[in-house]
Amino acid sequence: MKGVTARSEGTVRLGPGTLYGALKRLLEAGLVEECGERADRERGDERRRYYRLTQFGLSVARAEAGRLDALVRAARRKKLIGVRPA
Amino acid sequence: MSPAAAERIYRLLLRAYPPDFRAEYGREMVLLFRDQCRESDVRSLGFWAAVICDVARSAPALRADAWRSRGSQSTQTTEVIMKLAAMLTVLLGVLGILNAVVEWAAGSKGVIDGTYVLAVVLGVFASALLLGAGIAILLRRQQAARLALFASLVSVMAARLLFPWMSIFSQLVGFGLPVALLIALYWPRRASPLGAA
Repeated sequence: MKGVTARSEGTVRLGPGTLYGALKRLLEAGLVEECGERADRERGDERRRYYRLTQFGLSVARAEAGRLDALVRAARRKKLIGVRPA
Repeated sequence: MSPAAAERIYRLLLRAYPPDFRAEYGREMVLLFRDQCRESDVRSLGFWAAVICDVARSAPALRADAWRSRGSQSTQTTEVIMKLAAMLTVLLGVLGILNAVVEWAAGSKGVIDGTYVLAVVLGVFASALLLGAGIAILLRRQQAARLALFASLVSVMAARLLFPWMSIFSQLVGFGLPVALLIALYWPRRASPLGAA
């Protein structure tokens, strides 16, 4: 959750409900998979489950990133972003 | 407010989520909440506003998902029931035709009344339509099944008017089965198991 907040420069703050709701959907869609359960020594040895992106999830993430990249390039060409306001 | 008290409140808030989701992710969510409690001021209004916003944003969507999933399971059950009903209809249609043939053979030994003949013909026609309706349901031809059931009902009614001594069993099958199947076919379902009409 802290990673998401940091990467989005504080604009996205995930709570446990939003995070696990999204995780459940990603698991159902086969985009992520569980990769075991282990204790986290930094947090009092509580057992936590870990998840990782599947090969399919990686392909989907790449396709989505490509789509967003094309959109950003189109926005730059149209001078919607990347220019200083007059 | 102590972190333990905050956790108790959060456990209560977790009841907003569907039971299956709570069973799968409840423990992890509490662990994450515990992390948040360590890193934030649990006495601040902003902390609780964020927690309540998170629950209010995610719980209804997950409840809706769970409800949709239950709906889909119930649709599968309905599909199985309809298939069994269709098989029963085919069987009763065949039995109806055989019964009419036996009745005809028994009746032909004596003097045959024209009304009786018409009633037997209508009975055979109704049974054949019932048989066709059963096959149409099995082949997912909903509209054809409805038409066959309506026609079968009309034929049985005409036969009953012409020949009032129809057996109770024949009347139950002749009237009850098409009516029950028509109700089932017209009953609103989100994803019709019988496919295109």
